[in-house]
Amino acid sequence: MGVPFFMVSDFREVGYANANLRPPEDTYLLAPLGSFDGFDINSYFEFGETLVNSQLFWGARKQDFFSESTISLRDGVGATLAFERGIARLRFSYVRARISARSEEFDALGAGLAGGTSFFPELAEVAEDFDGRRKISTFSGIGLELDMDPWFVAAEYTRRDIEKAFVSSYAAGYVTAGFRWNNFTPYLMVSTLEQTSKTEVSLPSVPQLDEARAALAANYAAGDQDSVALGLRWDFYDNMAMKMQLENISRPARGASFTRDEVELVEDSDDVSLYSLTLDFTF
Amino acid sequence: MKALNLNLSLGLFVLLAAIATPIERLDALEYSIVVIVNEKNATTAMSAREVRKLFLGKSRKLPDGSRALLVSNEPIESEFNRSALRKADSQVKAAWSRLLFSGRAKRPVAFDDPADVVAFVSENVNAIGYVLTTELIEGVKSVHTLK
Repeated sequence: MGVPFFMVSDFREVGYANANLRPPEDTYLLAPLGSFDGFDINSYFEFGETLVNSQLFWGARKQDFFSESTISLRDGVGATLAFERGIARLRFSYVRARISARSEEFDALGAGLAGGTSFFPELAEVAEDFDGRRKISTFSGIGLELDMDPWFVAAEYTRRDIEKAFVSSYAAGYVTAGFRWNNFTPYLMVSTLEQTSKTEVSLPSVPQLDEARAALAANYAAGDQDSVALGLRWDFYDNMAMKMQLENISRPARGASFTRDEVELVEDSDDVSLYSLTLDFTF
Repeated sequence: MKALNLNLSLGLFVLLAAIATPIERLDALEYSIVVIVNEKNATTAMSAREVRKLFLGKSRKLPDGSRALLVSNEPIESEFNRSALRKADSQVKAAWSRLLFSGRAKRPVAFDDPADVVAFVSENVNAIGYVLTTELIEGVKSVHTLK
């Protein structure tokens, strides 16, 4: 099942259901594990004019990323609560899970730190933070959709917090606004991603630890980025929609979308322009 | 080469058709559309707003409190979407895709023969559908007439 982190999680891959070409990457990358194996309970109530939908879910998942690293999510538990009334839909979500991350680099860093503790006892705490095992992570989000046909607006604010230092905590949000005109739906999307825990790790200042210090600093390389996208959906035929999107991603440093070492298309901190064209079908 | 030609001309045809007919409309309807429920259902009348909420998945219950079983009449679906829901077909489809993929609602039962719509509604006490006034027959009653 798709983990309902976000407002459009359930149908984020159903192109036809969404006005925009894709959900804003800056925000949606906060939850790289989009689905897990588990189960959920859904319930609906109607209180007068208000439709209330609540969902409780449990699950777990292990997933490889680019064959370099593995992220696993255990003991995932969460809830969503949505209120719909007239033109508005307001939604809250919360997920709590134990996150583990494994990769060669990461294991080497962990082993190095663990090995160092015999010489520098003060490393023990840092080593524990960086073992990448079962750290409690929480995700919370709030989203609002307004459909004032032909205008529509959607906005979400989300945070991902991790109890220990090994992965940074982030906050992200976006606003999308669009207008339906006959078969055309132009839209504008603005989103931002900001690191909220720029943890400074203080290692004893001895030359033997220079390498570890550099590795830790790299792990905290700022993932901040912002993007602005201008797009157009064209419902050109029954059950078919074509979408184009022009997107500009700006980042003070490396950014969060460009974390693979192999990505050498762009220099760090350069703006990235992205042009996309998709064709969506429904039945 | 022939397959390529065929593909190209088909693509061109689709594109031309799309440009030539921006929105399909039944402009001159001779009869009005009525919303029908089972004659045994306690509901006697529904407002335009109640009808709209049901068929856009924003409400699940008929005025009598029972869970609504939606029935779509395909030959006049576009006209119904436009006049009752005030939305283009693509908007209604996109809205239902969202509901279906998030498991929030069940797709309406669809028939391409109006007689089947009437038959289905007459057999299910919580069903609600829509037909042209000429298609009203026994077992169902009209609760709303579209203007």
